[in-house]
Amino acid sequence: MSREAKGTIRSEFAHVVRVFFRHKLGVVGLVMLIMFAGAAAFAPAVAPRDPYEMDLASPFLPPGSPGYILGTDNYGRDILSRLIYGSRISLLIGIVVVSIATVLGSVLGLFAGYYGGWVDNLVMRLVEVFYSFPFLILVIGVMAILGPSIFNVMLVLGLVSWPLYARLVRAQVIALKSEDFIKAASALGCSDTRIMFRHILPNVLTPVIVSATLGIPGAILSSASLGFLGFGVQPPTPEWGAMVSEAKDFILLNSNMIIWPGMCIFLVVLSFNFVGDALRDALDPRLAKQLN
Amino acid sequence: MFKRIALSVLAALLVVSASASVFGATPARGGTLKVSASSIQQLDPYKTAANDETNICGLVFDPLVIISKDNFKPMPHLAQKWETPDENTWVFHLRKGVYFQEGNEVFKKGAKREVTADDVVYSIQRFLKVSTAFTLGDIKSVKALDRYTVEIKTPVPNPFLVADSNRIPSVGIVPREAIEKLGEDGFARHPIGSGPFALKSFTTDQGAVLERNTNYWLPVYLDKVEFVVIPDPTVQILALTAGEVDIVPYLFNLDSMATVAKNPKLTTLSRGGSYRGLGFNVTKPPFDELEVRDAISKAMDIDAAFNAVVAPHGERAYGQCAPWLPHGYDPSLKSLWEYDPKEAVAILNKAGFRDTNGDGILDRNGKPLKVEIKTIAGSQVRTLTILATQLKKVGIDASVLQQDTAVWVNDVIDGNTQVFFDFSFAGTTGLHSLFHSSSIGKTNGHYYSSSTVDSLLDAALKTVDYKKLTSLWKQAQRKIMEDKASIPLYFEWGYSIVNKKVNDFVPPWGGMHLVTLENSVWISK
Amino acid sequence: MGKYIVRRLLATIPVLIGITFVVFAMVSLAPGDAIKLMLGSETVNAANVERLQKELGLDRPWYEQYLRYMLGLLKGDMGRSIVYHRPVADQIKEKIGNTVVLAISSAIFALVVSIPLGVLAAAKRRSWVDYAATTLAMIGVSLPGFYLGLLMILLFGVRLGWLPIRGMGAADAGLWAYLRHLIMPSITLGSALAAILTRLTRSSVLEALSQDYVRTARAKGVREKIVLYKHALRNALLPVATTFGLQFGSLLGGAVITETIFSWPGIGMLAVNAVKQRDIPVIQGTTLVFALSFVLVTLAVDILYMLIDPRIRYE
Repeated sequence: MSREAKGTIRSEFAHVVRVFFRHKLGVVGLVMLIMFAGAAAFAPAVAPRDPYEMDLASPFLPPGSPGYILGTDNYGRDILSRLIYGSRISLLIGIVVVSIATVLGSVLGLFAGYYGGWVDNLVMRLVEVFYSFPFLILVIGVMAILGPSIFNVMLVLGLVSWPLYARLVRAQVIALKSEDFIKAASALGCSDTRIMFRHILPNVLTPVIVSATLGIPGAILSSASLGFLGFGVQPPTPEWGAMVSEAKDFILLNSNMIIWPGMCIFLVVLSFNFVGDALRDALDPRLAKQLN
Repeated sequence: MFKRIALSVLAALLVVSASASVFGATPARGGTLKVSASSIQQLDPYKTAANDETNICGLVFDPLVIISKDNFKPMPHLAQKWETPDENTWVFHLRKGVYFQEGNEVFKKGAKREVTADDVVYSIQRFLKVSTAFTLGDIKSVKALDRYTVEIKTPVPNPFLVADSNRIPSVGIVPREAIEKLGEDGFARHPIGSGPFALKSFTTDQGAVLERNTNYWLPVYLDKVEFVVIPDPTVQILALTAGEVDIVPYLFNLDSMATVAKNPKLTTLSRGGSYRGLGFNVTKPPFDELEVRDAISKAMDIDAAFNAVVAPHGERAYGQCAPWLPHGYDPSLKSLWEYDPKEAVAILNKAGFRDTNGDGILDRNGKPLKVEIKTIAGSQVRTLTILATQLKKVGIDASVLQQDTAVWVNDVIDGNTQVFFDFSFAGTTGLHSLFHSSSIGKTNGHYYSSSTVDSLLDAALKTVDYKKLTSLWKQAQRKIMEDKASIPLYFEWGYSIVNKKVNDFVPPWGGMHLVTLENSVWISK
Repeated sequence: MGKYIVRRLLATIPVLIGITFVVFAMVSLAPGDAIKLMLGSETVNAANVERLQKELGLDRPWYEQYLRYMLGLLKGDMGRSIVYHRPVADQIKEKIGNTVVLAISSAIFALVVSIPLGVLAAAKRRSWVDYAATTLAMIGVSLPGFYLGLLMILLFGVRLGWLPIRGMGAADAGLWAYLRHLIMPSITLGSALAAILTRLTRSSVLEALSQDYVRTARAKGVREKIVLYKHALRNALLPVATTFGLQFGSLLGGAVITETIFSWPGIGMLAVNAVKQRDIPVIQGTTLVFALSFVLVTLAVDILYMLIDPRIRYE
């Protein structure tokens, strides 16, 4: 790559970072995410106790009890430790699901947009079928077959989310197909795959990245909903949605148990939304400039 | 002269009212009783798919016999008395003057359609043909000997025909005209019987409203009974606390007892319950070895787990037959079970299990001793989790796998289990369902097959002599327990939670019966 | 236009067939089935259950069952529920009204809250109103539906006793009681949509306000209020309407959780329970209803779009 090209990219990157940091909320969101990510990555070091360890003599301790900062649940397990380990699960699910969906969707969208014809028709039909499917029912149904486990939750949610990215990428590819530099590459004898992956793909990445950032909270919410309904990650694994579901049974006895996991879901999703918004603003004018 | 009569009458009245207040207040008339329900889809008494449907049918229809709150004995209802002239014949004598509800599409007001032996015959024949959830056992013939007498003949003796709440007591008598006029589906939406309450309106999964049957042969104090559908058990308790319902007939979540106990407006009534244990699939190695099963039973401190989670809402179990059953309860089986973790390890060592790689888990021939306990959601999950932790301490890699009900049932029926949560509502034929070889592939998830036990149970099921039946049953149970096919954990009591203003309520057993010879529910003003 | 509608409707048929096939394959592969569940009960009458199995054709190979179902569907027969012994069509008919009511009231809540709020936020940009609205919108989009529902039950139902906790109330309790039961579920289901629409309204009004024709109107001296309502708003509402239409379909799907928490007897709950019980005909029926309504709503939105903006014409 030429030095000018490198320079352009670096200055564009600097521009994006500058705009991003001007968004106060975006920064707040980023900080919170780093905190949660840190907790998730270093869980064994950060968590004061084993999230599975039960102290049956001290259930429902209130927050501030000695040794249990946020209190205990009905089994006497430390809520804070369970929340920290839960962040691993939620963040992992969010990222993996969106990764699966973007990769699958982008590839299918690329092929559909580039080749057109029957390939496009086939992919679009598939998109319609998956789109018209009541999302939750499909997920529940597949969970029933595969059985509830973290891996299956990620697989299923990823499989259900790809249509969004496929459509997005396909639209971009169709718009780009008629651009001069693509026509030039084709004329120069580049193979189709080369054109698709080395020339088109990098240019459609921006909206995909923005959608992905906003898709992660959606995946986290969905997995929490599944956990809440009892179809997702099973107890005693400390998944936040499942924790809310367990706490629901004790709602009259002790409201402490139900507040924290819900707050965590809320805060993580909120942070992703802040970051996604800020990112979109930071990247958008660049996008508009480029397409003009 | 008149003065003396007047005085004695006054005195008599005083005595009567005084004794009335001594023996209990006089029932107040009127009011609507609100009962919570989890699901109501249809109301044909022979096609019920949920307890709540059975409860409503218990109010709309009269069965021949009802299980009494007094020691679970069968009590006369539609049948005034019955006898068994020989061990294969049952003769029921019906009460006279019982009429089907009127003022509906089938019986106009004033129709005075009396319930007769023909109706009983029709009902039982229909039940045998149509019912999937319940069975009467083998019936050879049903016929009416005269207008008020019914004779049932069985090919082999059927000792539980009347005593089992799921047999004769669950057959509400239905009028043939209603089914012929309304059709099968129509009857399920507009059930008509002879019971104390007639169905006024019914919206699927929302609720049902029943009104007093003014022609009923027993005194009915309530004006209306309303069933409110609340699928979530926690919300049921919330609704009860808020006064939106008066009765929660089945407490699903033992943990709610703590909330309920604190509430001065509520009272808890217990009746019957369920058996909970740890079942082995005795065909799956290494659980096909008696020593391994025995060792596992010795490695667990079941008392500790029970006291932590269940007590005082149950009692320790040492056999499968429950204390509220008329037969089979054998506390002497306690001697078969003991908590001795050292002995457990010794037994496993002798069987070839040692910790050869120092990971804390016993293994044999390179395979670690792993136990995966499959269960469904419920209060037992906590108990099982504690037991699994205890097993881990002894060197057995135990874990609890919570499954979706359909998957769990599938696994248990297919024998796709090693150790599973064993549970039974401890009906009269519990041992047969859980341990008879003919139940393999259905309810015998243990895949346990013993010719001794089979012949004992077969003989018992044909013995009408109560003493002999009890002895055979206990012998079978002892053999099963000695074989350690299932490790009994505890009996959990079944509770109804009732608002204190409701009087004379008997927790449901084979349907909810608000008006019987022994009770008639009323609401204090 | 008419031809377009017909073509679109015809195109949905293969999609719906595809959906029934996927559902059928899924449930057939799933471990456990309704008959087994029945056989697992201690009191079961095994002979009658096996007879039921034969009657319903459940012991035949899966492709035969599928064919049977599809043929029945052509005749308008949705089959019978295995667990509840009644026609699936009846169950759906009883419940669909409830879900539709819930979806509509949630949508009304979302619109009533979001559009005024969005317009206000755009009109008074960077004021505290704007920040409050934006923050609220953020919260609405991030708060999990089930959490919001439970918190509301805890606060309004249990602690304050203002609102009823469960279900729809007695059938004969009257309109006001019914509405009271509807409040919390509608807010729970509609809050996410309200949040999305608030932000969208705000941004599209802002964009409309920066257009040339607005500047012209201002230069001509037209009053600000008229500028806002007559010119900017009309054009801003277009993307809002489109998004609303698209999201409405997903309201039906989101109803599942809300219906579960509030014991609202709708299609969502019917579907979830059917999955738990492996009641194949009911699962098929509810899925078809969901898919069909989604397709119809999308079509309606597209048509509306074409009517509003004559520049848009689909091939």
